Amino acid sequence: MQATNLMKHIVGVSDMKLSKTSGEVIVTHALGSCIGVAIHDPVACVGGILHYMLPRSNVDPDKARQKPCMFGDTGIPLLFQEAYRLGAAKENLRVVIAGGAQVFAQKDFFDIGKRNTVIARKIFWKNKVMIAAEHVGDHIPRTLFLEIGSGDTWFTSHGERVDL
Amino acid sequence: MISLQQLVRRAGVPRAFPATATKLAAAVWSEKGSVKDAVAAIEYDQAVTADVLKWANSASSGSTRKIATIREAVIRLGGVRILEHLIARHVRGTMNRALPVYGYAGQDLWRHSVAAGVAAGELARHVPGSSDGLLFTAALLHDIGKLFLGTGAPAAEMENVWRLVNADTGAQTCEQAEREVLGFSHVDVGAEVVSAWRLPEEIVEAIRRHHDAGGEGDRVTDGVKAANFMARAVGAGIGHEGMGLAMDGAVAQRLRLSRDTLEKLCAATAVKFNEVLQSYGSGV
Repeated sequence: MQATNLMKHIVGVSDMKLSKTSGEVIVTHALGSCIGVAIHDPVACVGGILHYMLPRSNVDPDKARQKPCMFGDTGIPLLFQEAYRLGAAKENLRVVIAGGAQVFAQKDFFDIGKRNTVIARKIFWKNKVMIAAEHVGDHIPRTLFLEIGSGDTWFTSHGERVDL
Repeated sequence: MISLQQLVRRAGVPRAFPATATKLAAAVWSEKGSVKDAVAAIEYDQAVTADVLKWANSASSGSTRKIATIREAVIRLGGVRILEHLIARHVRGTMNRALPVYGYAGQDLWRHSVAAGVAAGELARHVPGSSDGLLFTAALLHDIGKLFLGTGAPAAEMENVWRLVNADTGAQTCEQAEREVLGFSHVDVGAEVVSAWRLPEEIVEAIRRHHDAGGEGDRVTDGVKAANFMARAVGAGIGHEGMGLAMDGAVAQRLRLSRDTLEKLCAATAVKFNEVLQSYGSGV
């Protein structure tokens, strides 16, 4: 069994990580209103997770240049470009999103969880990419996992695992 | 059922607020405070003097010139920044522990507190009249009551709190659920503790009211509400509650925050937060 030697990559806020090593797990913690985007190509055995915080880069182009993964509209294209560079093909990519938490019982002026979700859907729709599975909204925290090779994608919240 | 006073007595007020910081706070927050008063508050405390000079000459202070004396540090960096540094150090020692009942691992409460402090700094640059250090301190300490509930409240009662927070229907915020189960919440505990530390009443009130919905907010309370929200939005202090917190439109209006401005401030907070964590030897 090689599994014990395999890496677990942790993706921080405003960051992304990719891998092409079968069996490696990529994980991002503390998804509140942020969105985690997981993509995986089983043919090329390439996958990655992006954890972005805000929807649009035009609120601060300087920050977007420094940290493109902070924003959905700069981070998502970068995640795909990096996956293509590692050999992934668009038609093989399975896309999953999770996060975008919000408080449903209260009026939220900022509505950031919902707007983070909307920008992802909009970008994928415009680029003719299907979202295979999503678990967004609600107020719950989520930790998103992706296993390279199998493409298994799941999240945990309050200790429970939900497969996506 | 445990009372607020029993809870605070049981947990014990953590490390009384440092006397030197209290003296410096009095000099900094006083309208008549001077450089001389600020220097006098620090210079006879050898340990604090050494710590302040070490920090003043580090990258995290932002100073480009060597600082050799406390007087120079006060003149070049300002009493408020030195005070912020001392408070942050104290809070780290106090808050740097896991609180499983809130879903906080080892540093999560401290990280949330620092993120709120950083957000307060960003807000202070945007909101005129709030850059006096009170907002930073209040934001940094706003959730200190969780430390006491997380370590001193009966486990069975805290389980009931989370049952209410995670109810499929009629879910409540953590603060509402604490109040329903215990009769008080972390904001009451935090206000009690900070009051015992003899910090200014504006800070005590902001901590007590940082989850109040509606009402006329003062600048510090409004700032703490916004900073708390921004800290969650940058992913610090999510815990079991998740997002569980909305940005009140009335607060945003009083602080003159548009959505775009708030997003820009969140972006700035995230970058600065990472820098501060790195200065303490841990990244985001």
